[in-house]
Amino acid sequence: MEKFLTEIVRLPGVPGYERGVNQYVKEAFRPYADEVTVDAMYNVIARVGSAGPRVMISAHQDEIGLAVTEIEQDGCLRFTRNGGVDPRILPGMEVEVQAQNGPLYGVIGAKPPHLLSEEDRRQTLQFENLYIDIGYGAETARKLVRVGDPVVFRAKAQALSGGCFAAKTMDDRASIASMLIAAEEMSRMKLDSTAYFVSSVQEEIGLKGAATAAYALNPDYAIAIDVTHGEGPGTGKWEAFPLEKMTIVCGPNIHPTLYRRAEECAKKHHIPFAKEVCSTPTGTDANAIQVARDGIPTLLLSIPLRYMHTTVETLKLDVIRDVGRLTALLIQEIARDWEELKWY
Amino acid sequence: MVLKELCALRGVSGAEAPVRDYILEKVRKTADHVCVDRMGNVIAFKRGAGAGPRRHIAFAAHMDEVGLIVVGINDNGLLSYETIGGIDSRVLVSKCVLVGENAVPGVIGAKAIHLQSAEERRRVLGHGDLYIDIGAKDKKAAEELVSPGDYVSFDSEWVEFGEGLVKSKALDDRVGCMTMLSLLEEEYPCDLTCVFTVQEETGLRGAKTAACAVNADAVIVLEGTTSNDLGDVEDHLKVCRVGAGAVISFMDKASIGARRLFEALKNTAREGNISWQLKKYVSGGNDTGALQTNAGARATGVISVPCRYIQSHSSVASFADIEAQYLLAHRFLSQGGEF
Repeated sequence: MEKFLTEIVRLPGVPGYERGVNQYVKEAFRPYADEVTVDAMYNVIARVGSAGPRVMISAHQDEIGLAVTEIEQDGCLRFTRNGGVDPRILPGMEVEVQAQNGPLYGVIGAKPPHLLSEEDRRQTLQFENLYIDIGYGAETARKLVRVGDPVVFRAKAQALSGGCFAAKTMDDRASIASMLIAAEEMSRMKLDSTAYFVSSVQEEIGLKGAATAAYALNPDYAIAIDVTHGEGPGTGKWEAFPLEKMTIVCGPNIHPTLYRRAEECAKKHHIPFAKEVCSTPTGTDANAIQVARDGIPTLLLSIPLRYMHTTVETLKLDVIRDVGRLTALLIQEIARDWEELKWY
Repeated sequence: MVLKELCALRGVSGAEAPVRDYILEKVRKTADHVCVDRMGNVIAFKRGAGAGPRRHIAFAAHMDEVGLIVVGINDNGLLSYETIGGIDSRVLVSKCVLVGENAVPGVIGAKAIHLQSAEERRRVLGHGDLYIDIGAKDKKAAEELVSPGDYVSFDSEWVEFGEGLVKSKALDDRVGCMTMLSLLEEEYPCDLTCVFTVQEETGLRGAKTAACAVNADAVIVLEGTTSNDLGDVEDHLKVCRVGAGAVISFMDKASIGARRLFEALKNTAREGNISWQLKKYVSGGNDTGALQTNAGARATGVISVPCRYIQSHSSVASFADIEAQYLLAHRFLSQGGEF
């Protein structure tokens, strides 16, 4: 799994430009899937099984990043964000501009602190004060780069002590790893259920891939997998969770029957979890899936990670495995008593 | 490549041993006399060619790099740190580091943007808000891997990019170290001392003791110096430009150079067609501040390589400028070190 994570986080896939990840995701699911397809928005859909209740499992491929907005006289690039990038992580950040003829390495620069006024030094640098240095003068830069070119962060994946793993884009490719584990288990168990594993697109800018995939598949129910906030420096009570166990989310976005079944299943199989209460529609694929078509009962399983939307998103590898296992076990149990299951 | 190897070595001020060991191995093959003083500075002497009186020129560059040091381990397993050398806290957010002699990997994160209040989003994260996370679940688990006092270095890859540029940690001042290693491989008509100092970043402290071991006619410091040549910086504040050549200083915040030496270096560059530029903004300071005065008066000069984002994971320099620093020093020595 470390190999999978290390490889997949290097692949560029800002919202709208997920093609860079598609091939890798397709190949990853192929050994376990009966069929793998890609839709018009680059959602990758892997089907496992062909009978029984139809379930959609969703985790997003896209990552937050930047986009080039201007090429300056000195050759440096101005940019805006694509997804919820925190400008505080940007000074000194390494990036790759996804240019026409291949990626270009760059470093994000800003006016050095000793040239800032006392007041400016206390303020966060904003996007308009930052630039990407690709090491070329304006003439060459204009030949290589076009306004609108997507930019991804470049940061290494790093195993830490205690079974922790830190990398960019763990949000949400860690959840794709969980889906792969579930797909593997399911292909082995030969379930009486049809699972559609959707590696969705454009989650970060409004859950767009999950909405269209849910519409197209019209599943009987759905399980979204995403990351949630892990306890870390400065996090408050109830808004962040221990890294050691997954959360099962409850609240209006989650179908109560699915929540109850997931909780029972986890307890039965001794899979540790915390209960995460979410009062509003969640910021995950579950939000869009629940209200697709005439309504789809939806569950949300989450992997706690620290430092969300940075390039050092830190989580526990065991939790990725637990989420995959619980997903497969739950689908199996629901398939068994599908005929008796009543939503209300 | 020697520079790539030098930059990869971990040598935060006070813990320069890996860099010193590497340098000692090289200079023992090229210099006539090598010693390590009680601060840990390496002083390498090479006699000039030919009989009779000759000039004695010393060069100096520092082995140490900026970094962090663990000051305490919190109950939640996160490490509190202080900086060694001037590091802007803003460049540490979302970066990888290596802790202690065993190079335990760690990350420096920040509270997710989703959980920040509007006021928090505006406020710069200071060093007091940041922690090193090695993945330990509590204090006890962390204590098995690291201790207060462990030195922390940036974990940063060597990347060549753009028009002949390189990005790495510690270019300041492994470029100067590399230039001196190259000079020691040559024969010159003057005596040559190369001083590889420690603890420049903590206040020129290695150079203070090294000065006592140098009895030369002049000391020329080989440095990496800050370049603010891109973005929203007015021309007169850019200091120097990456790719525009070796930087010759007339003064900085630590010293005013010897005018005759300054002129001689400029002339040497001109006559040798070596690309050079002036340091046009008085900022920063380097070992000349100590070498000039700590063991009696000494004529000093500085030849620097411009570096962008100098005290961060991602300092950037130009291979052409690094070459120009060497060529200028080499030509000056080849002509007998006259000034």
